[in-house]
Amino acid sequence: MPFFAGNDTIKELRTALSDPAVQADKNRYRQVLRRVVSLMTDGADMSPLFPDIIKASATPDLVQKKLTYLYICNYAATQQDLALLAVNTLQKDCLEPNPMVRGLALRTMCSLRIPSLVEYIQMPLKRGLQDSSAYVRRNAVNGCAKMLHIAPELIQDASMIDQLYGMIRDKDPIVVVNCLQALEEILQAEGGVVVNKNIAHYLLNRVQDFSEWGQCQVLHFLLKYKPAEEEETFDIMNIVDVCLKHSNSGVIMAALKYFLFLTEDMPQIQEQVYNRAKSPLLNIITSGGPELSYVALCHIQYILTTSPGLFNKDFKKFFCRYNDPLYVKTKKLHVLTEMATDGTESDIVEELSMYCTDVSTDLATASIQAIGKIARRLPTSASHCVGTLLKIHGLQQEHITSAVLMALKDLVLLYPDIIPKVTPLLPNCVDLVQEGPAKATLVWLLGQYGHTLPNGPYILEDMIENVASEISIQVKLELLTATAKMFFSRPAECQDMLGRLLEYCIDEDTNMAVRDRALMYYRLLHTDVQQARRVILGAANRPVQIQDSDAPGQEIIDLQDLNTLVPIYGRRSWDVMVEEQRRKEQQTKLTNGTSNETDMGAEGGEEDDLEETISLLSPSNLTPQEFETKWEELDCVTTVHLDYDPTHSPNGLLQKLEGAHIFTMASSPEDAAPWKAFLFAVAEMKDQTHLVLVELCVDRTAATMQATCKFDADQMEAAVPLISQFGRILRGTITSP
Amino acid sequence: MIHSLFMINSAGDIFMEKHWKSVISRSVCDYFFEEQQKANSPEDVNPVISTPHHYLIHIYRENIYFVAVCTTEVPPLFVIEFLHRVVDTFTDYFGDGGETAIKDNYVIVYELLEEMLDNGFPLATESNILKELIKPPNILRTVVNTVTGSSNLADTLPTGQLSNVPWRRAGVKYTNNEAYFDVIEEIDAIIDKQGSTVFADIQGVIDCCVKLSGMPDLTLSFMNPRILDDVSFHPCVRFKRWESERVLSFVPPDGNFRLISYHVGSQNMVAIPVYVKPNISFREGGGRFDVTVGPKQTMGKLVESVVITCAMPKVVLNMNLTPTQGTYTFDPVAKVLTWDVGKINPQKLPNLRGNISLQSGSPPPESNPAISVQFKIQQMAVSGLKVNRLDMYGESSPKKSFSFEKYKPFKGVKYLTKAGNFQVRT
Repeated sequence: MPFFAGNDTIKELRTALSDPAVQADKNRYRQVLRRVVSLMTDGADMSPLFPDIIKASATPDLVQKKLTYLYICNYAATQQDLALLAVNTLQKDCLEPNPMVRGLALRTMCSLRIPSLVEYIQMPLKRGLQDSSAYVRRNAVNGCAKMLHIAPELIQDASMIDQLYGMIRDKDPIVVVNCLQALEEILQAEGGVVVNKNIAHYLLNRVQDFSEWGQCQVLHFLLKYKPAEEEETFDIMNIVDVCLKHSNSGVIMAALKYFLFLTEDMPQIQEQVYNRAKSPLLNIITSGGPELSYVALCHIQYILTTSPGLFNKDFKKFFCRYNDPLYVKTKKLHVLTEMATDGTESDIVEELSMYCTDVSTDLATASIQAIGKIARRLPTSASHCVGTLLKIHGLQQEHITSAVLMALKDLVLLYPDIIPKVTPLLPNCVDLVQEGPAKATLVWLLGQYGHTLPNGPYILEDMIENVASEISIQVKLELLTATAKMFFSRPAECQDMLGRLLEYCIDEDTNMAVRDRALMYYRLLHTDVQQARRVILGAANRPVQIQDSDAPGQEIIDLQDLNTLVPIYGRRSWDVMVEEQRRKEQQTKLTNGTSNETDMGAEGGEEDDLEETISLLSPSNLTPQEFETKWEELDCVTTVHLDYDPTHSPNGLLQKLEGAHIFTMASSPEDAAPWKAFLFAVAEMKDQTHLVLVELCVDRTAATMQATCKFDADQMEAAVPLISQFGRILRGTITSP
Repeated sequence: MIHSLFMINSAGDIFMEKHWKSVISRSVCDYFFEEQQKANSPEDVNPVISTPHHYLIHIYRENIYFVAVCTTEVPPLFVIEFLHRVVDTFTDYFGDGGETAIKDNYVIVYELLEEMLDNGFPLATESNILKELIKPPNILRTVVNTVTGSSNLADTLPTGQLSNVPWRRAGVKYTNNEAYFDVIEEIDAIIDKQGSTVFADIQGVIDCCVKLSGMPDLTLSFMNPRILDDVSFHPCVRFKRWESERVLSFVPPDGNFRLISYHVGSQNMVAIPVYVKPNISFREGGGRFDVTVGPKQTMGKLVESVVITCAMPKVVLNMNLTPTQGTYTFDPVAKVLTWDVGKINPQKLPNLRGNISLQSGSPPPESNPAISVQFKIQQMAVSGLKVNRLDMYGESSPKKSFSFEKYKPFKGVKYLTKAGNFQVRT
């Protein structure tokens, strides 16, 4: 919990810090510093102690140094002037004989992120790059990457880049990796660090020296170099092979990606690669934590789309454990669904049916959907799947029955021969299924196949009785269609109830869609019953497209996506997400760039697809008095902010506006400051005319202008398009050359 | 890569944060809390969450969410592995990685995080090296200090970082040279109601405690290396020699480390050492519970520390049972039954039976609960893996580097089989 330390605490700490008795005792002094840092992490403002802490940083005690550096990094940004004092000590520390101190000081200095201090940091940083200690060099290289954002000219210097390239040959492996990483960031504009044959071979030869994290990164950089000859490729694969056996799953995945990249043009070998990577991947799933297992499952799902049969033998490893978290279970279901083949289908469906009784309704629903999906994918398995679904249906639980109905709905269209098995179940479901979408499915099934049931119409009749209490629009729509369909097969029993339903929907229902459909049916039936039959029943014969968002084959597989976040979301959703992010970023830029008030231009851009367009009519007569009273009356107001181009005279502006049928009522003299003008226009929209009054105010010194527009529109529906359209015209006219 | 790390406890307090690049506001965690709201239990929060500007990748351990904030496209496995490593390091330093331990040692936590990651990329994560950079906290340290007589300060540069072998520091010296190897195997299995195996495999590891002077070069060979299907190695193991000769040849890190982890796949039949005979039935208002455990294929070894847990359906109100041995508890809130059986005596099989009472008025549950079993068997590796011999060549001091002096360390191998994720469906 953040809290504010009282002045007393600060005073007390300050006294303690300057107490010679405390200063003499290393341990007591550390205790005080520790308290300062602990209060700081709790969110208390410890910045008043800054000068005292800087004094404390000049100490040979390493622990004390670390604590003060931690403090300085935290507050340097807010205490820029005092930070200069800290630099002095830090610079001295950079010359200490102890490499640990040098490294720490360098790291702290680069983490200050204060542009005005760059000149002090430059020298120590350059020295650090040539330091004899690897620890210092690591920090110096990282420092370069950190400084990039505050002093790009210092870092993007040719000699600096050359030096960093040279340091790729450093004997310390961590320096090498840091160097690559720093170069990648520095040279981002040119496409990152260049990995040529020499560097690639050098890195490959040292691949065993790198730490596991280093290996991940190096394997990533190696993707930049594609070996020219096949022999070279095989040599490389022999070297990297060991990475596939690593205990760190990050390395395994990076190595797999690299292998697939190398064998891109050799399909047979690629298959071997998959086979080799298979057991490490499975290992992550069975023995890694749930988070690792989840990510690995996502990748397996992704890989399955290119080599579907890869994990066929190991399908049992994807069975859920009861203590798996829900997200892992759901992912396993997806993978199992996609793996099912004719041989394994019965085992998998058997397993899936076990999950249907799971405590988590989400999992139960998902497993039923999965069975449905398998049935759709493998026609041979359909009868077994349907059998299982019907068995599950017998459990008589709302969420299970609902899910089973939804799954069956898709199947009856694909496999018409199961219809006789499905229809007898429907009457039992009526009392059980209450939720909107499931109920709509039930009604649809009743409408489509219910005519074979002896009491089919009466089930619908019960629903029609209670239609007034039905909330779901979807159910009402389906009920209309179902009753109409039923009417064509069993007219005598249905005519009355259809009449009642139509009457209710037309007279009493508040929803437009329901009313429209009811009216359409009513008119159709009223004009020509045969035509109505053709229209209403015709829908059933149309080939049905089943929406299957995550069906395989729809995903576009790209090797580049492995070992990134893409497989977790799927390529498509990822693209959508990235696009969304970009849009949001642009939007924030836009709103930051203009004022906070209503920005009509930006809004107008989004409403391009609005059908209403307005046109401005030729002048009507308006007296200044009328203008004044109207101006007082109207309360539909918006303000547009625009840039004013000082090269244009205000009168020229008024002429331009007149050209666009926006007329001047009155204006101040040419050289008045601020210059003002009152304008009016008559806008026509959907056969209605609206008066628009504008007050234009130009601030020459700031080169901006502000237009306050008032609209004569009494309804909100009319006002919104009117405001945006008029704003666009105004903006367009004024900014036009 | 990793910009910031937030630690969030189960109450939803962000109790620690660390930023490696510029400071990212805590408000980014709101997206995490939103996801957390949706989840039914704390473990169910999706590990990867996207927000408008960042990606949040987290792990849930020790009742804490460790949330990493990443901005660019990152390799997710890399981040998750790193987070696990962070928590492992905390556990290593403080004895446990829980919230209290972190709060008590936040200064060390900051120091560690600072050394483990810089500018968003991992630096040093080897516990050997970290411990030289940052000393573990007091109690442990005082013990170490009294033994070694060294000071608390790590004011010299960790030598290990400069030695040719990155995982081992130079100049190690012990009076008692010893090397212990623990072969630990865990059985993951799902057993169905009839007692047949749905799925089983063995995850094994060899954990070592090696305290040897100088730069020892060890060779460990097995009687039957072929049964190891799928092995991942500590970076110290020479992979080429394993590929060609099937022996483990390595210069070990100093202290405790995991040499290899392996996997014995479903191709080999896995011997299931225990069986569970469940008989659980529900009817209106109540039910019967009757479970017996017994040894199966144990190669004559004793099955110990047997614990049976069973997550009962939500409608179960209470259970009234009698065990023939051990003690049982039923947590009426979490609805978890735990039966601490102890050792299994093959002559007199442990049994737990009695009545279940359900909430009045609610229908009996549809499905029976799954039972999870824990057990331990000493001196047996269920896969049959056997260490053949351990050879060592060591260089006792750099001065005598021209003469390879062979010294006699204490050597030892221990085997242990235990249940990993061992589940019985009922």
